[in-house]
Amino acid sequence: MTTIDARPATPTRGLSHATRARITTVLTPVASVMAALLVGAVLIAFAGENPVDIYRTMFSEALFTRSGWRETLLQATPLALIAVGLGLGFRAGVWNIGAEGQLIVGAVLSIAVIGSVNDAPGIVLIPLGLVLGAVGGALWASIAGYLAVRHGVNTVISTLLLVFIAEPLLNWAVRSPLKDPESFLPQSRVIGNATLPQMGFLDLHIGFLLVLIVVPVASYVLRRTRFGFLIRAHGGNRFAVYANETRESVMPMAMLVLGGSLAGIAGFIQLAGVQTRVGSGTAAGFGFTAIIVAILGRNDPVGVLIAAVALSAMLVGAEAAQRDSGLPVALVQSVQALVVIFVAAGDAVASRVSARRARRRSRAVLP
Amino acid sequence: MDSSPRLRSGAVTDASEHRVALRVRGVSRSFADVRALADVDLDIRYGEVLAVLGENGAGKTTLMRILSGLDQPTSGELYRGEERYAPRAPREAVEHGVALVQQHFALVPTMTAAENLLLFRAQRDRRTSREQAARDLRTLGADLGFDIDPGARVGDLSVGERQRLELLRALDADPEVLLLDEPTAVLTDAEADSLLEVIRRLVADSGRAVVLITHRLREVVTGADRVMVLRNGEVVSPAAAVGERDADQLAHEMVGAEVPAIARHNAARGEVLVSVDGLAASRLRHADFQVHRGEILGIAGVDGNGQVALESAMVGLLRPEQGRIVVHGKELGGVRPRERIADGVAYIPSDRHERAVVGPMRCDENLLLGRTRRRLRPDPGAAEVMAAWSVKGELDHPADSLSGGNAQKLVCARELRDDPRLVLACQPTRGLDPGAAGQLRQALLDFADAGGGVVWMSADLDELLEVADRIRVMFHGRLGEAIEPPFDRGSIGLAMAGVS
Repeated sequence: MTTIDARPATPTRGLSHATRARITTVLTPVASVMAALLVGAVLIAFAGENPVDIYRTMFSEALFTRSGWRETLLQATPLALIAVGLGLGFRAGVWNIGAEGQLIVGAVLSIAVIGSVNDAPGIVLIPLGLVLGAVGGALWASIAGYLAVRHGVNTVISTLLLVFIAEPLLNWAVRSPLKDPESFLPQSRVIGNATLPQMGFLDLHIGFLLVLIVVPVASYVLRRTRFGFLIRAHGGNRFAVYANETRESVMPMAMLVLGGSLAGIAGFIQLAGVQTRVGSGTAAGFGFTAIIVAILGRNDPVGVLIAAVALSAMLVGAEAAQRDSGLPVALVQSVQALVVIFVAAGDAVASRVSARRARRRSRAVLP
Repeated sequence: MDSSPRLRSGAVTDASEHRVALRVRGVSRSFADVRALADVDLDIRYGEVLAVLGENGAGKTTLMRILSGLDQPTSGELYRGEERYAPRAPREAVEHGVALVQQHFALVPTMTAAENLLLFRAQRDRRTSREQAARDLRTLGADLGFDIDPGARVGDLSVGERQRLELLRALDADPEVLLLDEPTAVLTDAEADSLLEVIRRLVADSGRAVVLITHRLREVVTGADRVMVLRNGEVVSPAAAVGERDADQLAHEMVGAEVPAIARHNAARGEVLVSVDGLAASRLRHADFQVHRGEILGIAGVDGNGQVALESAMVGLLRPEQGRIVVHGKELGGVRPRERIADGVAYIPSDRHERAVVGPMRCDENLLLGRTRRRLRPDPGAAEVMAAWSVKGELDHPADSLSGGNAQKLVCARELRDDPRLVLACQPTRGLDPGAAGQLRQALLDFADAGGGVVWMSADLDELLEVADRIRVMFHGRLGEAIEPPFDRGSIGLAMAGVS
């Protein structure tokens, strides 16, 4: 039998395909962070500071002090929880950039219910809060899911716009039905018995343990279960999934509900572990920063955990630098945005390089 | 610029009949190792409609692409008048008075008809106002008896209107040679007739040269002056007056020489596996058929006659507007894909890259598509299946790394692996090298011999004549009567060209 396919079974030169892909996967975000820090250094220099001093302050604060570690993990908790869900969605090609709104609704729903049964013990209230947070976030995200599967509305737009509905909803709730009658500020009652207990050694609430459970579970699901298979397949070629596995509506809805649940859980954890009440500052931008975390973590649960810790260390360090030398936090936010741009650019470059390599290989083979 | 004066000056209309407008000499075009056109000679003359007839893949579109500057020949030459003509881009062809109306609409649906006209003009002529463009469009339309509203959004126009607009857009440059690639493919018979009438008028009034690509014999007979037949990239019969050959002869030339039908196996039919009753969906207007155990039902037809709609409806990707599909006593409509597969209905789609393969996933994972369990386990038989189908590729490499033929073999390996009852095979050997195609044909034959049922859609009639127990021809969304062996190639060719 003569075939025209003379492509060698294994590439003859250099590394195998899988190895090369793995290296690109890890290298791009690391290089991107480096590049972003470098550009950041230039910006710091423009602001009239010494970049070396500033970076030294940032890293020593975040990495070498106990309070820095505590603060870093505290912020990494909601980021990682949300970004695991978003990352799985991105992996499936389902864009959810409205975790901020899903977090808010999860927090509001849990305080609304828990506020009225406040006498129950924590052992009951905390699981209840987690469930309520998940339900609230999932409901909010499923609005976008319904619009997408029923009317073909782009989820990038619907999820984002739902944030701008969730925010006034929160503002209304803490001024009217949920308002703490004993407070003059627009905020809810305190969460009371549902407050998360602290872990002794770091003064860290137990929410971080949840991250340590969610990450390996998500990682296992992604690699070893049908659902994970469908996530990867849907991201690779959704039409093949519709022809062979599930109907068209299933995966988009599932990914939005999953992302919304985790965002809602993060909302409850911030409420019960850090803020103690719901107020206008409840969301604090975690839902948006988590998008960066997911991208930087290559939409992989373990990668997301690393990225969440790295990014929140940067934030914590930046706060220290602001305290010590008046560095504007906006600068750190620019650096974060640069990280995303560099990752995206790095991916584009990598895919172009591998396409060129494939072309070269096929040219060498064709007559 | 060529030596011939432009048409609106009226100089070409003296119909010095048969003056050659475009000369094609020894043109060949190869893609890698595939020969799309082999040594084509052709004279295109003023004042007549030349039909180019052929099946899918005969090389008709390649020829048009070369004539219009979209593609360049591997060897051979073109002459426009006495001058060498070698357009590198459609714009150059238009400057030489050659315009192409492509098979697929190149209109922008969100813009108005007049804006689309402007878009097609050379940069320097685009400064015309919209009002002027609207007037131009009306004038052009009035000449041909079209009534197109210049302000209408193209997206709101019917398919027939879009086709007319596409034609007007090509005529806007006042070409002497007009190339029409399957202009009637998406039109109803009535629409096609009126378009043909317009084309006749274009030729009669202004003495233009028109090349009409088609696979419909009726149009050749009613619309063309001369006809040339292409098959497998070669000129089967050089351009000659339409009257010289009857429809039968043309059909024979189009589909090739008579080959004896191969008696495949004992054609003893078993129970009914699938029965399709009055199915209609999208471009599929009406389909009725049954497939028995041990039977291969061939569905012949030129692409674009509703095959994709039938295929999609049968696997639940397209909701039937009417009718039902019953597989083994169970209605297939609304069944989830995984249930369909579990019920023993395998599917080899015509568009394997879209529907059958997840490119970035590994080959062994692609073997699991549609057959996943709740927990993924390593598949010990994967390597064996790949080897049995001689898929050249590594299990842990992405399916993207496979060549087209190997990807198709991977799909077949998966679909036939867990003993299905029925296989829906759509253009299964398209793009495969002869060895792989033979292997796949044999596998499906063995499957049917073992009691499976096969619905085999193919635009390649030779293949169906070889493997099918019965053949139904699909034309314009409808399935013709069942044709039993011994097959008469001529009558099948006629049916494929819409002559019943």
